[in-house]
Amino acid sequence: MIRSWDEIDGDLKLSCDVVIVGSGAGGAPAAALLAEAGWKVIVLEEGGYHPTESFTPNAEGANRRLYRDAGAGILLGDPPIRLLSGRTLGGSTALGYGTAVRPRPGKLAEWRERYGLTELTDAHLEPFFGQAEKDLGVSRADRRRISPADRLIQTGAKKAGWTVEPLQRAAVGCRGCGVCAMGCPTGAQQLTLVSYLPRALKAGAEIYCDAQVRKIKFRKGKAVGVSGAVLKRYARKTVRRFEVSAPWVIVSAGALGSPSLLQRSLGSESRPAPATLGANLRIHPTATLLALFDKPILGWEGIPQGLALAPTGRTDLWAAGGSLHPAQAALIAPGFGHDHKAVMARFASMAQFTVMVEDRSEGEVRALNEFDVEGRYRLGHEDADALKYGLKSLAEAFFEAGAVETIPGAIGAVTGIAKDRANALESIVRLSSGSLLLSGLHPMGTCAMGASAETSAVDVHGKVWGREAVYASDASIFPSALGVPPMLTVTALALRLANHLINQSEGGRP
Amino acid sequence: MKSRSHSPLQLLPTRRGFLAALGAWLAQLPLAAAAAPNLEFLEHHPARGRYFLTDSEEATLRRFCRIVLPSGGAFALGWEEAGMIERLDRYWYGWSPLHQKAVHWSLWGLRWGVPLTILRLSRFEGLDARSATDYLTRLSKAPVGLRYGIYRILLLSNWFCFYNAPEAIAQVGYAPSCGEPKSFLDPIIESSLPTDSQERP
Repeated sequence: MIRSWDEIDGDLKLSCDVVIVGSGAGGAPAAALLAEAGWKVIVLEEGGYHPTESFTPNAEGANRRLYRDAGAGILLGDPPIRLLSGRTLGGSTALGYGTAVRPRPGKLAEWRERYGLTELTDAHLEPFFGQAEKDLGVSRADRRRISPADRLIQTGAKKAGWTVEPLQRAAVGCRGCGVCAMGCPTGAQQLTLVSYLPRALKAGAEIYCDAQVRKIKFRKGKAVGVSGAVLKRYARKTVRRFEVSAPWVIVSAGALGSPSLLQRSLGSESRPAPATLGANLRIHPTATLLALFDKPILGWEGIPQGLALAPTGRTDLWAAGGSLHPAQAALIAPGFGHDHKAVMARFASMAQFTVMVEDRSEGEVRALNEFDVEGRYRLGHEDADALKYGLKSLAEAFFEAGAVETIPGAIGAVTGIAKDRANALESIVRLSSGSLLLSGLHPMGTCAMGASAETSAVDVHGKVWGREAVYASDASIFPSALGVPPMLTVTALALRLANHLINQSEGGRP
Repeated sequence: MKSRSHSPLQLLPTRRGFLAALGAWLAQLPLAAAAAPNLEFLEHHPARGRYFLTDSEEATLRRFCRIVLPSGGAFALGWEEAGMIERLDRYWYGWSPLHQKAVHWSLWGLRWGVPLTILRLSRFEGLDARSATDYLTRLSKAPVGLRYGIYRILLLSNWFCFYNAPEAIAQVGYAPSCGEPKSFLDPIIESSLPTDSQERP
C-alpha cells in the first residue's frame, strides 16, 4: 500500500514493528528484508510517489519531482558547491546513472584500521554485497550501448596514462536512453522504486509519501516511534499529522536529513547527542569538463556511465561520463548571451565528463528547521589540486581523442583549443580553487560509524551511540569518503543491518 | 531562436523586445506595490535558506524582498513571481551585449544594494539596528555567498534559456530517445572497446 498526501483523509496514529524514515538505498532494502521476515514495516518518505511512467527527459519536471530543493541545494564555502540529493520515493537512487560498484580495494582496511571498524572485513561483507548485486541485477555495462563520450575518451585516456575499466550497473534491459538522472523512463535502472520497494509492499509493508518525520520519540533513551507531518506535494503546508509507534526506528534520510532529524530529536533529550553528529561531511566534490568535437557525436545517447577512469597510480580520483540536459550544460558553458549561445549551439558535438575526488576536506550540516539544512564545506588545497589535475588529465585525454576544444567547469575558465593545447592544459592548473564550479554528488559521513561515542555518531551496525533501538542506514554512516559512487555499499550495509535486527530478535520476529 | 546582429538598425527590434519586457514588468508594479506583498513563493524558492545563512538572515531576506521586490530586486529574486523566466527564455539570447552588460552590472549592483537596503530596513522595517549592522559587517567580510549568489543568478540566466524551453532545446538538437541508440561511431573507435580480458571479473 502506497499512500500520498491527497489520499490521507485524517491524522494518523499507526503502529508497527519497525518504522523506516526514507526509501532510498539505505531504507528500502531493509524494508524489504524485514517485511519478508514477517515484521510489520512502515516506510515514511518525505518526497512524493512518482511512478516510472511519469519520468520524462524534462529538466523542469525532474528537478521539481525528484530533487531536494529542486536541485539547487548549496553548500556554503569557497567555492560554494551545488549539492544534489533526492526527495522522492526511491530517494537518491532515482537520480543516478545506476552505477553499482564495490568500494575500491583498501577502503575497508582503512575503515578497520583508522576507525576501529574491525568487523567490516571483505569476508564479512561479501554475502551482503553479493546479495545486493543479485537483487539489483548488477552486471557490466552493455558495451554496445555505452555513450559516445565513453567511447571517445577511452582511446585518449589510455594514451594519457589513465586506467579504463568497464563499470558495473544496476540496470536490467537498459536501452541506453541516457536520461537516467531525470528518472529512468523504462524501468530498467534498478531504483528502489522498482526493486526493493515492490518486494517490501508484496510482503505487507506500508509506504506513506509526502510524510515528513520531524521527531524521533524516545522513552528512557530508547526510541519508541516517530512523529511528523503530511505535507501538500511541492509545498510546505501541513495537511495532516501522524504518529507512528514502533520498537525500532531506522533513519535513512541521507547525509543531510539523517543527522538533522537526529539533531532535532536528540536536542530535547537530557542525554547528550553524539558530539560528531552532523560533522565529518564528505561529498565527493565533482568537476565537469566539456569537450567539443568538430562533428556531432550526439553525446546524450547511450549509457552515460559505462566506463570508470582513473589516472594510473592515483586512487583518489575517479572519472566517468555524464549526460547533462542542455539546461545543466548551460550552467557550465562559459559566457552569457551571444557568447554562451555560440557554445551551446555546438551541444550535439559536446562530450561531458566528470572527475570526482575522494575528499579529505570536510564540512558539516546543521538543522535550521524542519525543512532546511544548512551545510558548509571547506574545500582543501589538496582536493582542489587533485580536481584541477583531474580536469587537466581529462582535457589531455579528450585532445588525444580528437577534441578541438575543451572547457573546464570554472568561473572565468579559458576555453582551451587543440591548436594551443599546452597553454590550454596549463590554464586549467592555474584556475583558482574558488572559481571551480563543483557539485557534491554523494553526501556522506555525517553520522559516521566508529568504535566509540567520543569519536563517532553510530556503532558498526549504525546504532546511535547512547540510545537504544535507533539506527542510521545510509551514506551518512561512512566514516570517510568512499571514493566511488556509494549506492551499492549503502545497499549492502542496509541488508546487513536488516539481518542484524532479525538475528537480534527471537526467532527472527520482533 | 533568432540570432541578432549588433548594427544600430538591427538593434531596434532587440531594444523593442527589451523594452516590451521592461514595460510589462513595470506595468505590474502598481499592482505589486498596492497589494500586500505575496512572499509565499519564497517558501518554495530553491534559494530559500541557501544563499543566506541563518534563520535571522532569512527573515532579513524576506524583509529585503518586501521592499526591494517591486524595484530592481524583482529581477534577481522575484523572477518566478514576476514572470521573468519566460522573458529570459524569449529575450536573453536576443539581447545585445550592451543590454547584457546593463543587466550584469545591475545584478552586481545588488551586492552593494543589499547592505544599503539593510540599513533602510533598520529605519523602515524596525529591524534592530545592531542586527542590521552585524549583517552588513558579515556581508562585507564574507561576501562569498552573495558573490556566488549573484554569479549564480547570471549562470541561471543561461540555465533558464533551456529550462522548459522546447525551442532552445530543439535548437541544440537534444533529442533523447528510448528506442534503439543510433550507430554513430566510427569503426576505429568501436574496435578499441575493452576486451573481456581487460574487464574486471
